[in-house]
This record gives sequence, C-alpha cells and structure tokens, in this order.
Amino acid sequence: MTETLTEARFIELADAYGAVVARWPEAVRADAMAMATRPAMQAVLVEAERLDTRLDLWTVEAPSAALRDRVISSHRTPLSRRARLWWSGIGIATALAGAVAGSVAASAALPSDHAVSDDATAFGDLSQQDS
Amino acid sequence: MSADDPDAGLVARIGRGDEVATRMFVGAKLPRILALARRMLGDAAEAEDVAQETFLRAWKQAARWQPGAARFDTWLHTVTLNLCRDRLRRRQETVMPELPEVVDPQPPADAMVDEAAQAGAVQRAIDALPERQREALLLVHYQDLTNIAAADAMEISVEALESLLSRGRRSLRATFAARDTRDD
Repeated sequence: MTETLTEARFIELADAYGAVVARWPEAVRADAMAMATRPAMQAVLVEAERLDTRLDLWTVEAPSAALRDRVISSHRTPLSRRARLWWSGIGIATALAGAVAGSVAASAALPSDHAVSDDATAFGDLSQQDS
Repeated sequence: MSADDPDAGLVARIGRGDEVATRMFVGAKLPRILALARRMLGDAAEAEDVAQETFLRAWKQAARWQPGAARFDTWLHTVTLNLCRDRLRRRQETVMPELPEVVDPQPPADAMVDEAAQAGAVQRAIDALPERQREALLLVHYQDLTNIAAADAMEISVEALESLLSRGRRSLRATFAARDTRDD
C-alpha cells in the first residue's frame, strides 16, 4: 500500500520513529528522503536527532564468551537426541543394568526383618542410627 | 514461506542439527536478544537467564519451524518480551530487597562519570515510561526492528505501535528538557 507523504505526516513520522529514515515505514522512505531536503523538514529531523543521540548514550555490555558457549552447548544436547539415546540399545542395556544393580543393592541394604520405619532412607534407618 | 526472511536457511540448518549454523546464529542473535532483556529487566544476571531460555526455545522451534508471515527474528523477540514480562510481573508480586550498591575500587575519570551518569539518566527515563511505550521504543530504536516486525512482536497494529512511540518519545523529550533546565 502506498502512502502519500505530506509535511504533516513527515512530522508525525519523525515524532514516532526519530530522525533515522531507515526506521520509518518502508512505503514512505523514498519520499521522505526527498522531502528531507526542505529546510523546515530538516529542522524537524534535527530536533528528532537530538533525542536519538541522547537515547544512544544508553549502551549495554556485549555477551560474555562464557554465555555464548553455554548457549551454543545448549543446542548440542537437545532433548530429542537424549530421547533417541534412551531408546537405543545402549540406553535399554544401561537401564537394565542399573535396575539389576539397584535390586541387589536394595536387598543387601534391607534389614533381615524388613521392618522399615518412617525414618528409613537409602542409607539405613535414621531413627536407629541416632542411638 | 516468508521469502524475505534472512534467517530461514539458517533456521532450517539448525533444525537439522548443524553446529556451524548454530554458532553463526548465536553470534548474530545473542547480542540483540541479551541487549533487549538487559534493557527490559535492568539486571545482567536475569537478562542472561532470559537469553538462555530464549535460545533453548529457539532450538526446539527450529526443528519444526514453518516459515510463514512472521520472521524467525520477530518470533525470537516475542519470546524474549514474554519472558521479560513474566519476570517483571513476578517482581511486582514480590517485595524485592534493596540491592547493595557496588563500589568500584578505582575512581573513574570525570568523563566516564559523566557518560555513565547520562546513560543512567536515559535508562531511568525509559524505565519510567508505561510498559507498552517502553517496549515499543526498545524494539524500534535499540533493536532496529521495522515497524511491521515490532508491531508483530508486540502483537499490536502498526498504528498502535506508532502511537506508543510518539507518546513515549514526547514523554522522554519532556523528561530530558526538565533535567537539562535543572542542571543549568
């Protein structure tokens, strides 16, 4: 859609987007550049530029190398890849081996009478250890 | 497909797990996304958290990205804005303890003090704007988004964006004029 650029509209655009015409709506940029040669419109741009320059004083630090590396690393181990590994033979074998080892460890840790209190943990019964 | 989306090819490669594309993408986008979060939140550590979260979402999105009307860069800005808004909302719901002032062991030169003071004044003036005016200004002036992209990121019309920008800049001009008069 084309937009007819009037001086009033030029002032509105400078008021909203500032003095850099590249930030203005694409449809009016060419006309705006031509209109910017008029002394009255130049004054409008100078005024807008004063605010732009002031806003540019607020700069922020660039990302650290550590942050950049963390962000890149976060792509190397996407969830989908972890999921694929899980369903692979290695994942299943690892899970089975873990389950067997866990069963052995659990049976070895259980007391002979299997009386498990509320204070029982993986490291034994805390209520019995206190005494 | 958005034929004019300059990131479309890169995003497709990232979706296929291309590490070179990932590095290029992070190099190009991280400074912009971090800057937006930093200016929105005013806190470096929180801004880093938001940037990391934004990219985690980008990796997931890249694999299923269907280029359409919106550019990927605009989508990234929308995600960042939403994450920042959530954090700002949570801050308002919690009483924040006053942060200790960081003391620089070496007194900086006068010029640096003046520059830092002016930058601080700009930051405070922008922070004092209503939320939507602040967002519009950050997206157009600092992030250099086009009016259409900025309006898309904020999910408003271009006319509404323009109105927010005008009111925001007018308010800032008044703030700075008052400050300059006081300093003279």
